[in-house]
Amino acid sequence: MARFLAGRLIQAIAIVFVVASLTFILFRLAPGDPFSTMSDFSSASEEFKDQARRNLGLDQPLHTQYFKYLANLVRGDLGMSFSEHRPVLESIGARIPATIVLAAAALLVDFLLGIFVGAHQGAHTGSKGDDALSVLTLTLYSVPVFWLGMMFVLLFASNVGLLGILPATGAKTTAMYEHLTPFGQMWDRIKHLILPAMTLGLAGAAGTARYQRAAMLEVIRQDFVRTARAKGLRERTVLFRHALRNALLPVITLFGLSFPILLSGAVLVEVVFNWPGLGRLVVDSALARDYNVVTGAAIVAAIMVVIGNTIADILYRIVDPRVRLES
Amino acid sequence: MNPALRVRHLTTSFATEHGTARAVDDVSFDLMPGETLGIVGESGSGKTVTALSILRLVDKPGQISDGSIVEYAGKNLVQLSSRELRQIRGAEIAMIFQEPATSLNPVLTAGTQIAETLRAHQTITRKAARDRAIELLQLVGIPDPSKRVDDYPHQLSGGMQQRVMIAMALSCNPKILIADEPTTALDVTIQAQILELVTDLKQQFGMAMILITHDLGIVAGVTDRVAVMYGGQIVEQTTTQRLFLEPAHPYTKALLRAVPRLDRPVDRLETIPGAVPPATAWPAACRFHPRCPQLMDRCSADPPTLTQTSEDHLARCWLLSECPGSEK
Amino acid sequence: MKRLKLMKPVSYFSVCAALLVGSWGCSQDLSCEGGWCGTLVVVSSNEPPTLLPPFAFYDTHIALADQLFWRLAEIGPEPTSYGHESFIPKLAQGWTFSDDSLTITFDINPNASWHDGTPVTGRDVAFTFDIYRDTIVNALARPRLDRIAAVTAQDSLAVAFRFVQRYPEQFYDAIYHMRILPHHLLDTIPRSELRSHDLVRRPVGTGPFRFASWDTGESSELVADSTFFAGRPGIRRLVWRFGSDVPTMVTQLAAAEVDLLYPVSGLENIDRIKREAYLRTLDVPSNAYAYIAFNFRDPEDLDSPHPLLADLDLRRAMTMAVDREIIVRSVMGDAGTVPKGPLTSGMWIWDDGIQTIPFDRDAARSLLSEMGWSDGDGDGVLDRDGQSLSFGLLMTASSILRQRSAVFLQEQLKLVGIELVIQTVEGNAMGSRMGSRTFDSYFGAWLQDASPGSIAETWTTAGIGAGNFGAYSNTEVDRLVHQARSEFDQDLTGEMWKQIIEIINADAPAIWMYGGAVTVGIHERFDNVTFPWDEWWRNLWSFQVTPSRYIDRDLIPLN
Repeated sequence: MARFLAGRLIQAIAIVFVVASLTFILFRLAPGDPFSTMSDFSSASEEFKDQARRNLGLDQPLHTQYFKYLANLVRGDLGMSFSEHRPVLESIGARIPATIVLAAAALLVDFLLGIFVGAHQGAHTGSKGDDALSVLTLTLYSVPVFWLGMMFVLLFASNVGLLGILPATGAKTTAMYEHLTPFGQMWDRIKHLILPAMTLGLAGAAGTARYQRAAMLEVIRQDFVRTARAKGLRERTVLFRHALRNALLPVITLFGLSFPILLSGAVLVEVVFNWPGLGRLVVDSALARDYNVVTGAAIVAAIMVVIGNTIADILYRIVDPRVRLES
Repeated sequence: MNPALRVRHLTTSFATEHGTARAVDDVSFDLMPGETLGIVGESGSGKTVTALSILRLVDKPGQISDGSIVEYAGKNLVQLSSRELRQIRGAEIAMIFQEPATSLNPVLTAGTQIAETLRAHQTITRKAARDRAIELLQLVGIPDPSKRVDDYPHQLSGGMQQRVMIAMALSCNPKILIADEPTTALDVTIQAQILELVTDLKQQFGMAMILITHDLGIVAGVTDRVAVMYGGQIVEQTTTQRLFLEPAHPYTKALLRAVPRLDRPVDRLETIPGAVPPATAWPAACRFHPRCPQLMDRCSADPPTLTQTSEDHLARCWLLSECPGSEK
Repeated sequence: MKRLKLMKPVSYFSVCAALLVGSWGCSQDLSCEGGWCGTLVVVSSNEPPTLLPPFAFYDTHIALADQLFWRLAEIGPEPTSYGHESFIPKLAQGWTFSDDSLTITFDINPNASWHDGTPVTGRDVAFTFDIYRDTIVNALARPRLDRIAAVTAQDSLAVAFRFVQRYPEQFYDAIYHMRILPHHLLDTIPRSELRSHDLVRRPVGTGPFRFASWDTGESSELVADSTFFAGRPGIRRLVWRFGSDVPTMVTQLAAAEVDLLYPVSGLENIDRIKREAYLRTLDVPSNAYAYIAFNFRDPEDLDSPHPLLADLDLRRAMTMAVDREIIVRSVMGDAGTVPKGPLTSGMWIWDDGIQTIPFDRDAARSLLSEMGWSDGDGDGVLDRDGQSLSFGLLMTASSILRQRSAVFLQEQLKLVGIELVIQTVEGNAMGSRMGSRTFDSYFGAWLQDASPGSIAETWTTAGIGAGNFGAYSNTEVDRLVHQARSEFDQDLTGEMWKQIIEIINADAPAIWMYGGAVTVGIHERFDNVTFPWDEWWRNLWSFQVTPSRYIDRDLIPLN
């Protein structure tokens, strides 16, 4: 295990380096720079923009900037955010908790629901329930996630929704939050989390369910499932302990893949629900050409992907004895 | 004596796009307590489906469309509720399968899989179940059972996997053991060991056994009585001895001729011309008639029924009616 | 698989019950102590990077900073950038001009103090001038302070501005661009570190609100100073919520999660707000106008004139062909107005009688055919000598109003046989192409301050390289602008500017599309609601909540 983790660490470093370099170079190929937008709405003179560029070191040749960046990166310095005038690490760090909370909640919904629905479908193929669920999962899978979010707002948000019981946007109630009891604060945050997590989670669950259904179908035809029945075990035990336990294995791979997917889906959900997360920061920074933030976020995303895949691999090892005992 | 199992007019059909296939067509037999009944046939004869039908393990789109399977206490297995059926499966009637590697759950240990059978049918603590599992592993001849109990199937050889299956099947002292080609997937040397083990245990536990096989050699060594199946029907049914000494049905005779014999070396092995028909296209009347060396006009017109040739000897062939009362 | 140990039903029930009870007893007692309450939640996109004024360059950034930092004086209700009598004292309580009018001395109000209690002094003003002129700080307003030679503190409560020359907007330049900064807190910080200093995110200012908190990505909260020297603010709390995009912000307003959205764009969004009984829409004057500017130069060879658009008759014909009233009515409803030139009606030089090119489609058609344009190949697009009358319009996707009006414009031009190819790019790409002048025409917008000088930045020859991206140049306009900016008599100045704008209009360097008014959405419980034309956020501190209509967040105690 130690060797495995060490290998992963080296891999992570290599990936971070490649991602940082690619992002750094590719992003700067886009037209414009942090100060180009100033042509719109305000009459910033060329002199102003030139001075601004000089102040930020953007007038230097690209390779100089690149090596400076790498040198800083090695020391753990991700540079300064042009838009927020503070270290990128701080900028990203301020937003990560919100994204993690949303992603974790969404993952929970995604996998709990997806596995359950998919397993049920796999065990009852051809039934009316299976057909209905297939239509439902396909629809949810195809529907744009931001549309789904907006529909939820129209259904459930206070004042604007049909069943106005949940907040429409944000991670906590503006102004009132600080004056709630600790219990009230926790509850407030949970209430705000429900709609965005459901949106992101349902969209993912649809995909997971389809995957799980296929895996379940594969497994349920296997001989050992028949053996389990022949032993007189309850059908529930046959489905869960024998069939699903094996059908989960491919779905574990999905888990590792969902980290980056969550990041991208989270952006849209973050916009619709005005969630103070990393996704929006990255989009806003990309539009503002805040090179350091975007590169920093790309690095963070790369690290998350590595972590996600590592967790998936470890889970696989835990769950599948054939893999575990090979090493 | 009350039969351990009484199968009457069992018909299992599959709904396919080519029509309904009657993989098991009006099959009837008795299984007496303590006896080993062999069911013999080539692939496609319906023997495996017959075995699966007993415990209602046939998957959709197959279903038992007719018949009764009555066990010794008088319960008709075909009509039991799921709950009642579960109580029979693994406890009163147990089954072992052909491919032990795929018939065991790869993510559970051998011990767990044996123990869960125990815990499904008896109130027994986890520890006690585990201990019993170790005992059973010892019983089926697995060396070092207290270590092996925590092994996963992929860590065991084919022979050991089958022993684990046997241990699982015997764990609740079943009255009937159904063995579907238990040695087909194993090495020849292991085959003999397993067969010996099974017969020993059968004696020990006082079980009746149904042994499905295509191998006449096994039939000769292990079974008391035999039913030969062809085209979803039983075409001959008698004691093992009589089958080998006085086979009545042309199919049986052809099978016996096809077995290579040490004392009669030949240049070419005998085969049965033609191929086994699919269940969706049984030939009319006698299903064997297109391949029968003793074909008569009647055979393609009237379907023969099981007739008694001598005591405890049934065969499904018009030859027997030609010369009523006489042999062969 | 291990079985989950499930809690017994009783324990489930008690946990749920506890949660429910807990959530009821959620907040402390709310009441309006002393009859002074109210929380105004404003939402805008574009979270400011900093709350220090010199680093702000979008109006959405400075709106928040201005609640914390005040100027020496403000423009009065009649927005003029000339003279000084109509200006309102703020941090300064009075001022005097020197005899030669080259120096203005401000007397600082002795009651004005920083949020940490330190009094505001002349040194603060002098320090602020240093900061604004510093190249490292690179404040956007730096060039506007060019004609101020020096700012020196006379004593603790007096500060003198010495000018390079006499000109009509001396006072305006002295007070309008700079928000006074605390010398005692920022003096010792190296200029290069100022931008990222802690104080930037936890500012200490002079305004009616103190800084309370800033949750990145969510909101910033300001708390009113009940002993503020210029009077107690009407509300107790001002929360600035950082929104994402227009539909979400409209949803937030409709859900009463925020109280104020400026502006509400798009007729369907305005309708949505109108439908809620607890919300009001107001049409207020705005200082922004949108226009489509033509490139006088060839984007492929900036030294040569544009093959199509350098032709005056063509530009005039195009301007005549567009019924802007219809477009504005369709996109903005009744609130919209068509500008009479590169300015909005709030500007003090505005004159209702400014001459513009009228809408006359027939005249446009005949002018075009006189020029030799005809539809030879029958494809609906005019051509002449093998050249099609087709060109591109560069614009961003981010403005709903611009998107919609562009489509209408395209249709209208099609009616006279002109093909407009809309090229939508993202903000930064747009800016970079505008800067490099690689476009045929672009859809832009300007925010003006009260000084007509902002017209000069865009539409004079001197503006080429700054705001004059189309490279429009008319020496007569240049001359008149120079004259007008030095003329002291306001009426004469007004006349000159009218003339200037009419010349610009006749040159048709751009089509003035819409501007001058926006629709604002606000919760109906607020009173005393006014929105100054040039800076809509300036009077927020005077808003009040009608006592009978308090909602929860109005009653949050001041702790």
